[in-house]
Amino acid sequence: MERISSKLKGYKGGNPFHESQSRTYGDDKIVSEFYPTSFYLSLFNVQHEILLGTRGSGKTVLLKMLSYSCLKKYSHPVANKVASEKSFIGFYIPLHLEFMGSLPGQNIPYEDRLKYFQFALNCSAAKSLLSQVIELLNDIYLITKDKLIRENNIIEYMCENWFIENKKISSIKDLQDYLESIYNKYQYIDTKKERSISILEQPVLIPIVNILPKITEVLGLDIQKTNWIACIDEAEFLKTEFIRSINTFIRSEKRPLIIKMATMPFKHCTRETNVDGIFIEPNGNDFDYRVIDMDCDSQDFICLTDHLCRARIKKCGVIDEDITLERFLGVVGKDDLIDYYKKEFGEDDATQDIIDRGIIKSLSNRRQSHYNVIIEDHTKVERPLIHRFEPVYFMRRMKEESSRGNRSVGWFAGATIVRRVSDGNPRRFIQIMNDIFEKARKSDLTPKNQHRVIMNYCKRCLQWSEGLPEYGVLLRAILEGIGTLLEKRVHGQFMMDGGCHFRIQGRLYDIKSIRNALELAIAYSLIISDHQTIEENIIKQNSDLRLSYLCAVCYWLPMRKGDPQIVKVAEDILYTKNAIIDLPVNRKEARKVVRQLKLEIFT
Amino acid sequence: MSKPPERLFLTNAHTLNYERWVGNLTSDGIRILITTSGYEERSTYWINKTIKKIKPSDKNIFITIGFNEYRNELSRKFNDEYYIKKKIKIEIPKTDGWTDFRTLLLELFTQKIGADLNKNPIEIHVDYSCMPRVWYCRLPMFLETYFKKSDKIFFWYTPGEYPKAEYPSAGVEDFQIFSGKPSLSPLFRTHIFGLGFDRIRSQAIWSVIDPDNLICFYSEPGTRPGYVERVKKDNKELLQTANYTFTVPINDFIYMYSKIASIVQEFKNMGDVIIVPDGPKPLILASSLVPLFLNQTGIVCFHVTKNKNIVEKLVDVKPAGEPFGFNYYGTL
Repeated sequence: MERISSKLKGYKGGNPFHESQSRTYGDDKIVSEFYPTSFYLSLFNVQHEILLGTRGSGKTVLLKMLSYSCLKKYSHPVANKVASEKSFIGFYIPLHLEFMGSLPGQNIPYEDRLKYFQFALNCSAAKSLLSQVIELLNDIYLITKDKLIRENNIIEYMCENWFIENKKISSIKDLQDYLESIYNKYQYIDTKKERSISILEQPVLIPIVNILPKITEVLGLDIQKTNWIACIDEAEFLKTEFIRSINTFIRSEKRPLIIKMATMPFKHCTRETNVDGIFIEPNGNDFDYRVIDMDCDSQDFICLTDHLCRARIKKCGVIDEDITLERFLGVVGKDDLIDYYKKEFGEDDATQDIIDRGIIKSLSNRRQSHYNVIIEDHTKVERPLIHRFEPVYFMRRMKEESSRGNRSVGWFAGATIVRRVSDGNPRRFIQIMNDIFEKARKSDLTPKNQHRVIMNYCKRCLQWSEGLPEYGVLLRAILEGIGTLLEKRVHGQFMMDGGCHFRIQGRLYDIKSIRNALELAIAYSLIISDHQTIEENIIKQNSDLRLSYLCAVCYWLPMRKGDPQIVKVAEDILYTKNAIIDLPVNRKEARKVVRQLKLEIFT
Repeated sequence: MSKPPERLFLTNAHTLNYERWVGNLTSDGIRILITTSGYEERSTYWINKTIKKIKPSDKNIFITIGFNEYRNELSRKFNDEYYIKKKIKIEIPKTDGWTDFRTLLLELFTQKIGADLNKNPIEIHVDYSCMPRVWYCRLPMFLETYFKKSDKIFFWYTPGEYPKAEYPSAGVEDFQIFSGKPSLSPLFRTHIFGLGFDRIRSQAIWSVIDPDNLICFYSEPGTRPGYVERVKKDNKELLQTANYTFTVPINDFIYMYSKIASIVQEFKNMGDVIIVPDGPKPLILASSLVPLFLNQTGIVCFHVTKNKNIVEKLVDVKPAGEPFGFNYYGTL
């Protein structure tokens, strides 16, 4: 079957995968590109939830899709039910860096800083809530007169409750403008504050909670069945004192107003509230942590990537109802490793018998002797030996082949590999597709061409890792250190079982900078962690970690678990708990730091 | 912080060529010349040129601020000795923060020109080549509101030779809004990055901000040969990511400033505009002043401060070209 990408050869229009930042998407674009994962559908519940997701994992899209304005446009049985019953009405509150950066600094007393944060967040929440109220009024009241009466009721009620004395407010839009204007003219130290400002300085979301019953009633909705969701995004920029403020709400308030707050791993750094000694408790007591990141081989991610691929490729005028990632890239055999191996080496040199012999020959002498003992016992040979070592053997052969002069292989190619390199991260998927699309304009997306694009992308990402905030330089050196160790194991003289998974010895993560760099790696999905580690907010000795598959490409590692490896510092390196090493400022210094640790792995 | 910043006017602002200015000196009124003594060799370059034409006197008042920190580092001692030889007192603020610097300046103004402040037209010259960001970015507004409409304020900059040093990365904690205020809920955001030689730091800023619409700019022509090539090389990845790139001439402050302001205005139609400047001081100064001048909600300038976890490596910047500057009038 012809690759769909071949229809794009010579295409001169814009690259539909250029945009990977959903923050700026309008409702229509969000809706058109959205795929309802099982995680999304599970968000319609009355529990406060903190959504932990790596950069690009789709936090913003999920939260925006909880808002009524997006939900009502989306065609899906669950979405349609929620939208028609108005059982969950979300409103989106972004806490981007500028917003947080505009908050006063340490030179302002704590109480004033807190008041301003509460004021700013309440203003933002109120403005966003009102946008959804406008949508609801338009949908519920089809007769203009009825709508205007209800709108007026809401305005009157809010003005009365929030002591807004501005007589010029005649629409909800005016009310939104008023909120924007008081936000703009807010002064930290102002003895003659308008009363409405004082109302909005109350603890976070409390002014909203106070007006919700009446708004629900005016809209003709059942207060017992209608839940409002404050969708707080980009909470990774919140300082500890402000997290406490949101925690206080989580601790004390329940429906009808529920919080779904998205942040990056390790950024919800406290469970304290504004009340000394009172903490919020997870596991459904006060809230739940939910990890957003998808498994790259999961059905959710397969469907999501196919959907994204379809939605964006269609923009190029490709008329094909059945666009999938597989059909776009083309499929070799069944898209299995063996298929790409056979394509590379030819059917004759890739028979199972030749492969089996190659595997045995690559093993250590001890293993070969063992093989000669068990050779007749199919059950001991097939799965424990051949099946286990096949991916490692293929990887070794491909690396050898590619390192020959002027030899290029078509190994990291195909839909499965693209999804794996994306590591369940929609933004990374879009970025890879951006590069693949550029290639598709100029030439056929043969496995070799796909391999080149993917390899370049992965190398670029690894290089870019040093540009991540604060610990980036050290992080890159650590990734290089671990990558090289795992690479040596896989591509050493004798073949050993290997993969991308590893654990970290306690002595290593006890070093503060190393721990921070590893947390950064997890937050930016350069290292993939088990969900428990993210939910518990701490890397431990038994944390199941693995190098992202983009690192696997850079170091030619099989994209599999392999024997679990423990990364540790050499015995003669003495570091005390919470030791601080000087943060390196360049690659040379960072490599020196990692070299000094004499990292090693053992099984 | 009790009041939102007032608007900056930069009345009748002009770019200045140092040689032309020094060649057409007039002797009316009072001149205040503010310089610094720091660890950079560049500290004394402008004053050394200027003092040959303008001798210290009752009418030509030299104010030199010595930094509180790093008093024994690199060229500091030589610079201090230079001022001592010229019989110019080095005033040292309590700390190198803006508040103490401002307090010291106010004291010195009162002490040296208090009686003449409302009479004669005054010229204020600031050599900001070696000043920290917190000083030189705040000075234009401070001086504009302190001096009369007839008083002229001059800012001078001497280009420097920066060795190939690498600078610490940045983290979320290092971001501070210097000027402007963001909208409550912007529909779209454009980030305008000023680029310098600092690849890792620029990438760190990029990865924190995670821009929706990235615009980059750098100075061209630069301060010396090879400058532009190095900026392009050091920021290759960012420039590839940018949706639009523009350049500004380093030695024409007013053109540079106007160009940044016009680009900001253009993108303001789409939503908020956030300027994140790096690179030479004139570029940072111009970027920092734009939100104060345009004075609209949704135009913001970030300053990314130095990471407190990393010990700063000092660099002895040597002069690498002739000074250039700009002037404007006070508003009092």
